[in-house]
Amino acid sequence: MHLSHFVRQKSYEHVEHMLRRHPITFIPTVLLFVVLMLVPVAVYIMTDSLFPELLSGSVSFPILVLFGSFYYLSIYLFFYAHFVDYYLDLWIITNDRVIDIDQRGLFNRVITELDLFRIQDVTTVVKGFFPTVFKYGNIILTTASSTNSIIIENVPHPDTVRHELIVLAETDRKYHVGDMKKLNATLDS
Amino acid sequence: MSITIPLYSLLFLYFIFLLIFAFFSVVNVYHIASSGTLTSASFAITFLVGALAIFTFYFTFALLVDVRWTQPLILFDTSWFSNILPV
Repeated sequence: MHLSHFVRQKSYEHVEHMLRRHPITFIPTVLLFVVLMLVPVAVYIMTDSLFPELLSGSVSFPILVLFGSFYYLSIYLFFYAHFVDYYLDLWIITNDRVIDIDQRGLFNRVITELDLFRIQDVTTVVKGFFPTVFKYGNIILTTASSTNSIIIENVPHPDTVRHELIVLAETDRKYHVGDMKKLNATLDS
Repeated sequence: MSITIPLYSLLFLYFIFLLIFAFFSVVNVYHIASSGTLTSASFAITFLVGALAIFTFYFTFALLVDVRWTQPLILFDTSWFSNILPV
């Protein structure tokens, strides 16, 4: 994957991290998919014992087969759409900014950018049994402005990423000293 | 009195659904391709879904190949209520 697929890459910019949610957060969808796949098998077994004539009827049989096919194709689509939603949610950390790509369903994508030198606080939240055991959690990036913040959700090793973000932000702040002065003057006025 | 439709009417509904399925599948693949996220993981999931869909199409076809689609499907028949409502 290349940064230019989402945003215009600056000449001096290079990608430091490309983060996705931890794969374990996709497991509930996989389990639901498996359960939904098994439902027709259970229905078939029950129908075979309770209403066997439905499975041999010249009209009822094709209706059941068509409905079964419709059901299975629908859950494939559901699973695939959820995978795309999961896989296209992405956080790209470069040496200049953080880009939050939020895929919401199939026809809605929100891309937010945050300059590294504007970051004031970096907070990590690892909360719950599974996040603690599998080492994933949220990273909250806040700026002086209350409207600009990015939450990097359920990424692996959030503490390592937080530490690297702080170092990157500090380096970028030195690079943007002039911009920082302008920003502070704007905030003061 | 009864209201019937030919059984092949259901096939038309099924084909409309197949068009919707194809459209959304293409949109999903387009998202993966256009965002440059065609990795081994996304390829594996795409392959799995594609293989399952082909498997389902094959079994649907194999199970329905001998069906006589011109036979009537009864939607409503007054005889269903003859035991409940006295004539």
